[in-house]
Amino acid sequence: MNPLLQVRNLQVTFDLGRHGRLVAVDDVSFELGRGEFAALVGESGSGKSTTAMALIRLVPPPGLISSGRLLWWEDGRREPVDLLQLSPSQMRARRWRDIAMVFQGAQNALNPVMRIADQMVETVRAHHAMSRGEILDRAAQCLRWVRLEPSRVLRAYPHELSGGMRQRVLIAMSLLLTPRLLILDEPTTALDVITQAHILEILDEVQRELGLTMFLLTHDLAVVARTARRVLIMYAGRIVEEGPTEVLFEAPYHPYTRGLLQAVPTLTGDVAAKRPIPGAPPDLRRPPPGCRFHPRCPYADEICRQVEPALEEAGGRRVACHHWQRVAADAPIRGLRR
Amino acid sequence: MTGSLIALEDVSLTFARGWPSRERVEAVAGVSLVIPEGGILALVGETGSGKTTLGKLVAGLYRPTRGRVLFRGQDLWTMDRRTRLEYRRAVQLVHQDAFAALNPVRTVYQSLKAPLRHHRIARDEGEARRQAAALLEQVGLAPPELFLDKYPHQLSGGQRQRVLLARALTVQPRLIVADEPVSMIDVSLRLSILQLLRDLNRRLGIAILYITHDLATARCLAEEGQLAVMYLGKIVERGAFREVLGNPRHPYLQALLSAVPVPDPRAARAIRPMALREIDPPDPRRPPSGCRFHPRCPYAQPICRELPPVLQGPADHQVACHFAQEIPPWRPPSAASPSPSA
Repeated sequence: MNPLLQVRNLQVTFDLGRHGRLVAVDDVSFELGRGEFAALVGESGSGKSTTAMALIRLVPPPGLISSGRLLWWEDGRREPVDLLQLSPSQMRARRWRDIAMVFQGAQNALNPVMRIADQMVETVRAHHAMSRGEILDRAAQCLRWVRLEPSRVLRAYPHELSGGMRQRVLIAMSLLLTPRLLILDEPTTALDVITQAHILEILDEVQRELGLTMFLLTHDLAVVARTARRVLIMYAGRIVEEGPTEVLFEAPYHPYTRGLLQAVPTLTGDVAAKRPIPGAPPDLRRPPPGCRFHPRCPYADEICRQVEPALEEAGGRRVACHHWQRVAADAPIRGLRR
Repeated sequence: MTGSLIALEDVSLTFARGWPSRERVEAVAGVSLVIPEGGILALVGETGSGKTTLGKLVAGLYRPTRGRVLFRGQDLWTMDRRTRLEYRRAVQLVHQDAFAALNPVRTVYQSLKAPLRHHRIARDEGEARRQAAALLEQVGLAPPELFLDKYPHQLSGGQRQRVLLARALTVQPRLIVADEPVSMIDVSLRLSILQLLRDLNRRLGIAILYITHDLATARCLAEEGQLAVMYLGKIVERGAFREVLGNPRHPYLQALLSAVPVPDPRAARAIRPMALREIDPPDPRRPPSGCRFHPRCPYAQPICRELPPVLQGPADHQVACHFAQEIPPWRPPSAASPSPSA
């Protein structure tokens, strides 16, 4: 796989004054390959949104990228650029042009008193000197990719569109400048099931047709199954398992991945076979010692309480668990299929 | 057969808003349904379907503009004071956002004490504390001493939702109306809240009205109970949960089922959502004529534009569609390449 972005030992900390210091993203390393569809799965507080914000250097204060490197491989260059070494204006020039992001809940952040056409023109003009006509041609093309009728949508104000249509407008806007990497934070969370299914289909299509790299952040394993070829599982600020989607879903090696798959409600299969994960995610100001998942883990023993497991290669993926052999040997999870 | 606890008879609710237009929105349009003592009913619908409004009608927070809401056979809005007080205790609403529903400057104990003392369920402070502790144990917050003196911000989302349920239980309700109780909770904790609701139903015989947009969570709670599917203010299909899901007849329910994502990569890629004539739902302020689903329905005929269909069929499976008997049955597509663990 040809790398597009290599994330090395990324750490993001929040200084909360008298409330202490919180490490939201702790020593996270991964790669995004050219033209791949990858997903980052985590619950609230896992650090997934903070990771995404760090990739475009927009971590909100008091958050700070305290260490790490973001190696960006430009087309045709031999050496990567470290995005963290760029000046703010250099970075600003790359946002939207190289890396675009559809933020969580952004369908409610469109300017309510501007027509969609004007918002799209403004977005492009911030980066390129192009005529309005050229921009609108491009906008129409992007809108058609997301199955919207340009003649109708371009003239509309945001309140005239449904939530699903606004979300598609945002995806179209993010494609205006043909970015190499598109980050989508919970793109379907507040939407209806039918709308969600169509948006996932659209993302899949757009990614394959344009060959861009998509990085989708979600808490929903079913959304991952539909779209991503590779998945990273994040828990309490660390990546605990990473690999091809089919490999992880077929036979998870980390107890947290396994727990999530066992807990996900489905339309078929035995309801009685479903098991919730006990306990709750930890307070990151005082993470548990050793493996951060150990207080909730059915496989935990003494070593888990003391030694933090490293992410290591095993069975076609990377996993951070002292007991992955035991997890792997356990019976497959039933009832995920229709 | 147990008696009816709550019955809705041809209930409609129209909101009028804006000035001077007084734009009218019919959020609930002629709905009749029964919640039996000790039953579970899952009410499934998407944004704008009127499901939350229906829940509030059941909880007595809205007065219907047409039709009646009956509590044990008596009209909610004309009953005497005594019965109304009894109703107020019998039906409890649990909201989606547990953080917003709890007073941030009250400890868990203080939140539980208020209704216990108000309804004179606990005669003194000591008894209130003992009862509060017992309630926390009921909802799986054990040992209770660990939680009684905590403030909402010190609890996780799942724990707050449990406190909300404990508060609903203070008055020994007969029905809990739970409106999207797990949609704001972490995935790893959702199932445990659903299991708790099912457990309260089984152990204490409390009826549950579970309002959700998510058929998969509805199944985890209500598989043994009833299902009603709402679209733009009307119930389009309902009956015994297993029966309806095993043989969905309404094109809307079929479309909904075809769109539910599956956590299995192979099957998920083989599944295509049913092709609708329009992806996006219409503006609920201007519901379509006739069958409200007709502009999106792939099977729509001229009659669907003109005549609203009524619910028809045996009690355990009713459908409101002119062509319920003709449209092809929907079967869940199977994985492209079945694997040994399927």
